[in-house]
Formats: sequence, C-alpha cells, structure tokens
Amino acid sequence: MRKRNPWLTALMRLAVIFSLLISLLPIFWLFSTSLKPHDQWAEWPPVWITDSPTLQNYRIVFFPEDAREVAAEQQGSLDYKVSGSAWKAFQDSAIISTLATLFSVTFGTLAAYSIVRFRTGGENFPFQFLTVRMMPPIAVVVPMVALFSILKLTDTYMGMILAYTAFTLPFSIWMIRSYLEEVPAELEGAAMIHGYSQFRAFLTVTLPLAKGGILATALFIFILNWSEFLFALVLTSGDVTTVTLQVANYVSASSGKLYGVQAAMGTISTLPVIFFGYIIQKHLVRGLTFGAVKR
Amino acid sequence: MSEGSQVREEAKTGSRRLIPFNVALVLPAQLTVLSIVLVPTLMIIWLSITDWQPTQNVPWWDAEPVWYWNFYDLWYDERFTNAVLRTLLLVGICMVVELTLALALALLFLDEWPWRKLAVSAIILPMMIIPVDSANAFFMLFNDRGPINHLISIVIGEPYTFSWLSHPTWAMLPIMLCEIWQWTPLMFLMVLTGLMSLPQNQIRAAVLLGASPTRIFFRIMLPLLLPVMSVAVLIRSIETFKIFDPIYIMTRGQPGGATESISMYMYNGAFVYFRMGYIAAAALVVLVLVISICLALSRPLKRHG
Amino acid sequence: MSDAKLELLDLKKSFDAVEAVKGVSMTVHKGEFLSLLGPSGCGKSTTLSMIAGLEEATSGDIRVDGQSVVKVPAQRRRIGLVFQDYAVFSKLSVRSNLAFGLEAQGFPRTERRQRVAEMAERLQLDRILDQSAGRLNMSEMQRVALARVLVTEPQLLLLDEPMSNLDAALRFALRTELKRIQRSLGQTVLYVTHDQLEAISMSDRIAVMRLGELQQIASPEEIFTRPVNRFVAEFIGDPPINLLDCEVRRDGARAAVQTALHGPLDLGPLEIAEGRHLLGLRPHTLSLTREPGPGSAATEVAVVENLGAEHVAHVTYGDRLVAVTLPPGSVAEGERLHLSLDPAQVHLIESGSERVVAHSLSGVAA
Repeated sequence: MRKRNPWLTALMRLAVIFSLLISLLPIFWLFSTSLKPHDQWAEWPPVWITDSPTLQNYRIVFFPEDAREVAAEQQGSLDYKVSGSAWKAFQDSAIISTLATLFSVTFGTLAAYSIVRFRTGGENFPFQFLTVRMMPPIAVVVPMVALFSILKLTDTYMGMILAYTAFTLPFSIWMIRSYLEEVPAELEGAAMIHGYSQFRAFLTVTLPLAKGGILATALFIFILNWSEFLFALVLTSGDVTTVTLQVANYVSASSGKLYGVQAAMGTISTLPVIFFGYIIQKHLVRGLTFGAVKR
Repeated sequence: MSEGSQVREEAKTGSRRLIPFNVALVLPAQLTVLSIVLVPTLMIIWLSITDWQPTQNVPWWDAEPVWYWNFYDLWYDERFTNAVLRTLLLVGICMVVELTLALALALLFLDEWPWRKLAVSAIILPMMIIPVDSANAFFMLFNDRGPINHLISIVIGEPYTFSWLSHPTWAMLPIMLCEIWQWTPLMFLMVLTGLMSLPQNQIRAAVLLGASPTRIFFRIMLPLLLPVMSVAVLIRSIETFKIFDPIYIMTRGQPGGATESISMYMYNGAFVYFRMGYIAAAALVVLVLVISICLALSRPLKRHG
Repeated sequence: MSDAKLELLDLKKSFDAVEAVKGVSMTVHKGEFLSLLGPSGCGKSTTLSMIAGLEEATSGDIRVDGQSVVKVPAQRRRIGLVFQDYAVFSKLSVRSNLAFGLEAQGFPRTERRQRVAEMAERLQLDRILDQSAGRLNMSEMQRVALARVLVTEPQLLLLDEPMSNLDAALRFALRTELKRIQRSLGQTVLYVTHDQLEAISMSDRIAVMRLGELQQIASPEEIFTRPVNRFVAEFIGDPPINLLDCEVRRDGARAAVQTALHGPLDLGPLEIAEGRHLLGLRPHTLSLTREPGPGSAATEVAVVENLGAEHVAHVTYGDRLVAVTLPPGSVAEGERLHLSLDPAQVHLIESGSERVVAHSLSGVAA
C-alpha cells in the first residue's frame, strides 16, 4: 500500500486543496466584506477582493457615533442605523461568559470528583446531565421566560449566567470526569496515609495533575458561552446584550443589512473563539463527544 | 475498584454531617440544573394546557386552561408536523453528507505528507467560527448578487441571480450547507482519530491475503470504525436536531414557514405570535419524543462507554 | 531444475542512517522448514517484512521460484504471513477470516466453502467457525491466523515469532502441530524466533542472524556441534557453552593450547597466533569423576541446579564457575571432584576474529 501511483496522489492533493478552499471561502468572504466600502457590498458582479480596502466598517463597530459621519462621507443619502454598542456587547459577553464558565467548571469539578471517586448516585446519575443537552433549548426557554419573570431574572446578568451554567454543566461534568479518571486514585490514598483528608488530598494532589484538562474544559465552555445565541435572544431585552446579538443590529431602514459592518463585527467577535479554539485543539474532540472519544 | 470502596470507607468514618460529603459535592451542579431545567420543564406541563398569550397581560399562572385542545390543534397543525418532518429530514441529510465527507477527508489525511498539520488546522477552522457569524457569511454568499451566483454565472456563461433564500424549496440548501460546512470538521477529527488507532496489523494481514484497497476499506476498516462513527453520528444528530441559529439569521423560517425547523417553529410561535401556551404544548410533545428516543438508545449508548 | 523456493541475494535494508539488514544472502529449499534465529534487533523481522513485501528493500534481490519479486506489490506476492499478534479480523467470524483471502483472490463460492471446511477440520476450528474472531483465546487465534493463510496455498509461509504469546504447554503442543501440518502440506516455511529451543526442535535448517548479518546457516546438529563463531556458539545450547581463557604456545613445530587447570592439548597443524584465546566447552561434553584422570583438574561443586530431567553442576575452575550437565542425583554441593574434558569436543575460538578455528583437538600433548 505504500507504493501509490502518481495519478492517484495528484488527485488526492487536488481534493485536499479543494477542501481547503471550501473551508476557507466563507471566512474569506466575511473578512473581505469587512474591508469593503459601502458601494461594493452588494455589487454585481460581486467584488471578491476590494481594490479600495477601508477600515470604515470597523470604525462604525467601535465608534457608532461616527456612523452619521461615515454615512455622509459615502455617496448617496444613507441612513446607518446602529443600535446598541459593540463595546457593551463585548463587555457583557465577557462578563457573562467568564462568570458562567467559572460556575460551570467549579460545580462541574466538584460533581465530577464525587462521581469518579464515590460513584455518587450510581451508574445512571451522570446520564441525567446528558438529557439536559438533548432537549432543544427552545423548548425549555418558553417556561424559563415565565420563571425568570417571577424571579426578576429577565434581562439580567445573573439570569444569563445561570442559564449558561445549567446548559454547559453536562460538558463540564463529563469532560472533567474523563480527565479525573486518568489520575489514579492511589495518589490520593498515598496522601491520606500521611494524614490528609480525602478532599484535601484531592485539592493538593489530584487537581494539579488534572489542571491541564480542566483548563481545556474551561476554555471549551467559554467558547460555547461566547457563541451562544438563542438564550441571549430570548432572555434579554436591551439591558444586557452579547456579541452574537450585536451583529444583528446593523440594519438600516433604507438599505437593509449593513453587510460591511456586520462582517466587521462578525470577524472581530469570532477572534476569541478562534484563538482559544486553537489552544485547546487537541481537546476539542474529547469535549464535543462528552469525553467519549479521546486521542 | 478496591481503592474506590476504601475511599468511601474513609468518608464514612469522617465526622457525622447532615448531608454526606459526596452528595454535598454534587449539590451545586444538581441544584442549578434542577432550577433552570427541571422546574421549567414541569412548568411546561401546566402551560401546555393553557392558552397563555403574554400580550393579553394575563400572568401565566392565571392563564385560561384549554386542557387538551392545544394537543388536538397540534395534531392537525400542518405547520408543526411539517417542521418536525423537515427537521428529521434535515438531520438525516446532514448526517449522511457530513459522515461521508468526514470519511473521505480522514482518508486523505491519514498518511503523512508535507504541510499536513497546517492543512488540518485550516480544515477545522469552520468549527471555530461563531455559528451566527457563519450563518451571516452564508447569507452573504447566497445573496442574489453574491459570490455563489457569480460562480454559477461563470460556469453557465450567463448572469445567474437566483434568489436562494426566498425560494420555498431551495432556501433549505444554503441552511444545510451552512450546517454541514460548520460541523463536518468535527466529524472529520473524530473519524481521523478512529482511523489512526485502527490495528495496523489487521490491515497488513488483509493486504498480504491479496485484498484490494476497496475490500480492505469496506470489510476491515469500516467495521472497526463503527463504534467511533456511531458516537459521532449520535452526538451530531442530537445537536443538529436543535438547529436554530442559521435559520434565524438566514430566513427566519420564511418563506411562509418553508424553512422552519422545530426550534424555529417554536420560536416563531412563542415570540412572534406570542402563543406561548400552544407552543408549550408543542414543546412537551418534542420533549417526550426526544426523551423516549434517548431512553430507547440508552442501553446501546452505555455499551459503547 | 533447482529446488530453491526462496532466494535472498545480498539483501539490504537501511532506515535513514541505521543499517538494519546488511547484505543477507541465503536459499530456502522447497518444503524446507527454516528458522531465522537471533536476538532482538538482529534484523530477522525486517528481513521477513521485506520478503512479504511490507517493507521495501534498500538493495538486493528476493526471488521466489526463480522469479524476482522485489517489484511485485505485497498484494500479489502470494506469500503468507502470520503476525506475532495474529491480527485476526476481529469484526468478522472465523469462517469469514478463513475465506477472506480466497474471496479477495476471486475463488468461486463452492471452492471457497470446500477449502475452508477442510482447513478448519485440519486445525480443529470446525466447531467455532461461526464465532466472532474477536472473542477467541490465544491458541484459537493462532490457528485462525495460520488457517486463513494456509487456505490460500501460498508459495511461502512466513511466521513471525508466533509462539511468544503462549505458555509453555501450549507452545509444545503447537510446535508439533505446526510441524505435522507443514510436512503433510509440503509447505515451505520461514520461521522467525529468538527462542533457540524452538528453532532447534522444529527446523530442517537454522539461519542465525546478528546485527543485520547472517552468521551461519546449517542444520541444527551442525550449528550445535560446529558453530562458526563465538556468537553462534554462545547463542545455541542450553545451558550455554562454557568459555574459558586459554593460551596458545608454539614450541618449534609443535603448538599447544592450555587452560588454567587442564594439561596442554596438541593443536597439530592448526594455523593460529600465539597468545590468549578462548576455549569453548559444552556442559554435556564435560565429566566429573571421583578419582583424577588423564589431564583432569581438581574442582569443587559450588551449586547444583535441578532442571528436572537433568542436573547442572556449577563447579569451581580457577576464579570462576563451569557448568556441567549430569544425570540427577550424581553429585552434591560441596563435593570435591575432578573435571575432565573431551578433546574431541572442544571449540577453539580465535580472539579478535571470534571465529571458531577448530571443533576438536587431537589430545593431550606430551
């Protein structure tokens, strides 16, 4: 099987190049559009690579008050309607995602530890958390709206954080569980012989050994939170926002979607995900399969 | 095994508490899930027998009960049944396409070749784009005057400005392509992991017995890959079933409900038409459906670890 | 008409800078059972892989029935290989495992069924034909691995240390089994192992390899009684050969070799330089007596090893011990005895070249 005929190799190389092009096309288009001046957003034939790249779109994202100025600079009478502020979106997303991740990973580690060392709840206990992931969030969100209205959690940071924590706990628990299982229990036993309590042994011996995996889990859950859309859409109404919502805020009454600005916001907002995603590249498969598939 | 029970013994001989230590550890997680997930789920049962419409300014606990009428209406609601069938069809198609592409790609990336690592990083880039952003990108790509139409124009030699997202049948295509584009890399990674851990000697033995690469692939490699592929398909099916972001961004379920998935249908019903009681009934039906399928599959799931 | 089934002609294999196989040449005859014997890393498995076609030779030729096969892909060489870990197709039934090669080579169904049934009976697999191959025990797996290869009637059968996963009792049973099948089928077999006992008991000829080079290829008896160099002498034989320092002295036309305690032995016309060399004495060729004999040395029994059917006495000889095999119960630890050697069964090993220059000497020099 080592000796492959050169035609086949060439074909395979071609296939790889083709796949790479398809993988990169939408991303390229998004980024390219973010640099286009207004008149090139919806031209025909479409502009693949702009000959007059501009940072105006990014300017509008970060300085929405300049929108009118920019509109005036462009030809024609455009009405750029920008609601909300990208700054607030980034800020809120950062707050919610970080805190929700913290809660999720902390609760998840404690629960995973209990499951791994004490078999708490028996064999079936961890599976209940999988059921959480199986239900479509939209199904739960309708009564959640009702519940939140009583608890005064609608459109609050805490409401979002709680929702995100609950729905990422299945990942935390299952992922951290698979990492903890890789640390032998005997190590805690050895510490306990020296007088440590079980839990202290866990904190000082096991946890440091599993910290790589737990950190990967944290970044993974952060990515999930940052990218989340549905809960943000339904559970907030202006006081709290996220980057995923903000992208939809670049519409103008007369010219529809402000493609360039949307693309700029899209490009920037996805950068953290790309960044963290590549850091935890090796752990992605384990995460997205709840620890079932390990490299 | 013995270490586990040893450890439990230690815990028991600790000081008497109201709650055993190991239970206390799971409480935060359990309580969060109970309050955010279980309580609303129970509320669905109540809401589903009412006709709660928030626009009528009646609080949900005071809403007028219509008992079984929501379910009756659902049964005859074509838009709902269409959404369910459409979603199942979408899941089916996406799974088949994603798995096939993933297998093909994994085979291409199995051996070493120059720049392979870099190529893998590029192939998995779609996974790391926020779904709403990729949905936006596909929206722009499939615009009447967008690059896809441009490419088609070049191929057929005349201008092609088909309005993909306004067409009742064809609008599903960009949506499915977005989903497939975004998640095939994940399947690819899983299948590649599986392929790289195949027992090499079995493959060599097959070669020496005179088997062609096709025979080796279908009779030896695929059966060995079945566990990994099953996990991949199972997990992705569940996630694809919940599809919402691309549809919301690209069509909102239009034209006329032609691109509504179950999630989109429920969103429209609850937050556009504000018929939350009715949608709660739909939610209950969907939840029962999903949970029964999961229970049915729980035994084979456990067998695969 | 030559009866050479397999010929290796100056076969070489290098992995980057490392030369794993350094110019091996040998011939395996039709119907012969030949063992490739050597310690780990000697290149025997690499040689096997090249013959099978799983590895490409760096240079040299491999001929089967006179035809060169180096350019033929592994798929089409029709050479059977049984892997060390057997590598049965775990997701297929035993029957499918056996039929696999026949299916791949396009045999019609009726012939497949017949051959599979015959081979299954021959190797006692007929009762488990429909079981999944992933659930077999070691012995069953080995037989399946063997059967699925034999059923295709390969030109050559290669086995890569197939017994290393089995316990001693199973090994013995399967050794005789394998030999019996080989004889009845007239199959040419190349058997790779590091266990000299296996090699000696099963082979028509043994090829001893070391660090990529062929040391000696001969029948088991010849390898045992006339090893060509120190390595072969030491590798073959259980308990291993005793190597004693000795000195060669020339006195005019006569030369004699002398060890620490024995009298000098006449070298006759042998060409060897004066100075220190090694004398190899197999434990079976030494004897212990209560009374001194001609040329014997005084010695004391230090340790007696009980190996069941025979004992090995380790006796003092200068500042070291020498092993002597004896029937059980002949001697006890602490006894003072006399050690005699048989000049017709000594091996003189030239220092430097490490070659064995003589396999027997004429006798005690005057």
